Amino acid sequence: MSTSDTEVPQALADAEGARVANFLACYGTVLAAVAIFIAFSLASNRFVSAANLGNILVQISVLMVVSSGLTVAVASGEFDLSVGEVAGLSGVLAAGMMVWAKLPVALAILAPVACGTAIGLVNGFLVTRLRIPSLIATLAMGPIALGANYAYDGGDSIYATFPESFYYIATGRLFGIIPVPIVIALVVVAVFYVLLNRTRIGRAIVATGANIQAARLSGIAVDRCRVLALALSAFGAAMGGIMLTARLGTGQPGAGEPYLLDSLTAVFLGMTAFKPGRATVQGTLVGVVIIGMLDNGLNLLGAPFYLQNEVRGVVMIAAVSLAVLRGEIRFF
Amino acid sequence: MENDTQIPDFASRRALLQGLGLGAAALAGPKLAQFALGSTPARAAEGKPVKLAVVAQQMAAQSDQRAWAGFQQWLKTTGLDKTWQVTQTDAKGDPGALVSQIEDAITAKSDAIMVLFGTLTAAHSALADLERSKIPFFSLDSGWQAPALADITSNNWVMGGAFGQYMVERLLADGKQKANICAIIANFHHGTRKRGKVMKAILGENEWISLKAERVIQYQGFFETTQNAVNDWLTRFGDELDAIWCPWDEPAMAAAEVIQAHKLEHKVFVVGCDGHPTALERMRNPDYPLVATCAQAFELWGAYGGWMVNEIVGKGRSAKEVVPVPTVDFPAPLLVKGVNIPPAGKPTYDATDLYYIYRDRAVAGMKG
Repeated sequence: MSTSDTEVPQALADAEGARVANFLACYGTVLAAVAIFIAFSLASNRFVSAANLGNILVQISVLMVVSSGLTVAVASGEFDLSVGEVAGLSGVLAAGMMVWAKLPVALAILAPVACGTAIGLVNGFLVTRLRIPSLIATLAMGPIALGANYAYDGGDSIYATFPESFYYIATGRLFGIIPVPIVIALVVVAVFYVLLNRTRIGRAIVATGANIQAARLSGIAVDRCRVLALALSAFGAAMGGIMLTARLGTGQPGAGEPYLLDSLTAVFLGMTAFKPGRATVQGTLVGVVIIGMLDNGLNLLGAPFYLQNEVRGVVMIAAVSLAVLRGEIRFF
Repeated sequence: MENDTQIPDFASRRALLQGLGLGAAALAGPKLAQFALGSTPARAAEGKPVKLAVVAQQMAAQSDQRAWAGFQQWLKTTGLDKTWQVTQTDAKGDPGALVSQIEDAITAKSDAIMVLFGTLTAAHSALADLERSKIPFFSLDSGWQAPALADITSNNWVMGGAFGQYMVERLLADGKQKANICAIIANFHHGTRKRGKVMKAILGENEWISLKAERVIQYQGFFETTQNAVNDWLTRFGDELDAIWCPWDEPAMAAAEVIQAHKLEHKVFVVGCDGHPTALERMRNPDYPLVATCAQAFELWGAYGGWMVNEIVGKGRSAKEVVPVPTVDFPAPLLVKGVNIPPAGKPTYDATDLYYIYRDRAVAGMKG
């Protein structure tokens, strides 16, 4: 047998191996999500019931909205560490506007969303004009938003009965079947997906995040993209905060805070899927679903409460370390 | 109706307060349920095995830990730990997680759900789901909300009055005609919020006491926040400050530590609430600035919660019969340093309330 005869099959095997590796790189996290789904389905007969699957989707709806917004910021190469505080602020603002200011529900939703988005614009200004790294600018903006939150409600929860139409956001069912929070979350996710993947500005945001110098040299207004991305991130957080208030039925000053770490976890998990190393809305969605399934499945199994933290951490390390070892993700 | 369902009158409340062997029963284990709840192992075993989901708001809190320990002790004592399926989750202070975990317990088709120290006013969608599910729902110190069959707690208005008024009396005893105090305010929990409101009402009737400053805290990082606030107050007001009012014992301990660091323990005192063992252990030191607290019976709440679940779900008794009124208030004796702090190792709920000491003296005198 000649050398060339042995090289061809070897090359084919290498190519096949590369294809498999590439497939696993793109869909490994999705496969992990499927594996988690199957594992919980086998372990608990209640996990796959329609009621429980709906339950999971409702539970992750707020996180889905907050994380989708954060994905846009990360896709543009920026971090937004103020999402939790912005969510908390918009939630209490909505509650206060309905209870104290007696504003109509629509206005009590729009005003906090506008306020949250304005905070995102200020973040963008700090990052692009004052050249403060987004990590620091948004880290500083978090306490400012929290301070505004406490100034507004005195650190107290806003307890009252809201108009029924507001509760519809959390407990309503479209056509009597589909929970409204799922619909809202899917609409927001779809809008962000289309924005990032099907619009010029979205592609510009992604290009800015991929290589800011190259994007600038290509004529992209990178600063405008970064400002917009941070504004959209805060918009998502504000929307999530309002959904959370409707779910809780009260304005809770500290309710938004856990969403920072959860949404970062979802985005980083998402960066290991589909387009490794890049923040994508579809990837983040997979991350959110994994988090939701882990929390719900472990609860159904009656696992010790501390196991949720352990398992979530292990899944995060496993997913990200594989991607980092393959050189697909580089943080900082 | 059985008499073991409630503590119906003053005398039996006192009986519980004084213990009549309750402390010993708690230490002896098997007698706890029998004595406190009128539920013997044999009777408890009559019921069907129950699948109970316990959802805690914040297992890191001493109150959650103590209630959970009391529940587990009851479960073991009655022998139901061999048949009941009990799952426990922790929302870690996140109200959204609390809602999700209640929903998960509904999906898991639990026979009963018990929430520990939740904020039920912030669980709107979960309460709606509970209502639809018809699953018997119980809560501990969560502020009663429908459809809960019962909320087991202490009367926070009474406790707020007890340790708040003691602060006033202590200032008078120190010969104050004008006094300055500062307050840590916690509005995130219904109980601490109510105590704060009572404190303000007491100050309204005692205008010679000036509230110089107050700091609203959240649960997250409360210990350090309190320490920093008290440090700043002591720097700002120095020895013009006479007392610090705290909504519960853990911030009170934080305040006490700072006062000791400033060597002002003989000038500034602290009042708190809950009667946590750590706080009481420190209060046995004569130089410790925390001087008064109300001892809540967290362990008994947990045990009583288990008993109620067993009576209603396990044995099928009528909820109305077992829980005539939806809030089950346990007594919480006022404990004062140097007067009625129970000895180490004795359950705090077994102590005698300060005012019952007065009463006992009077009664003893009348009887001769």
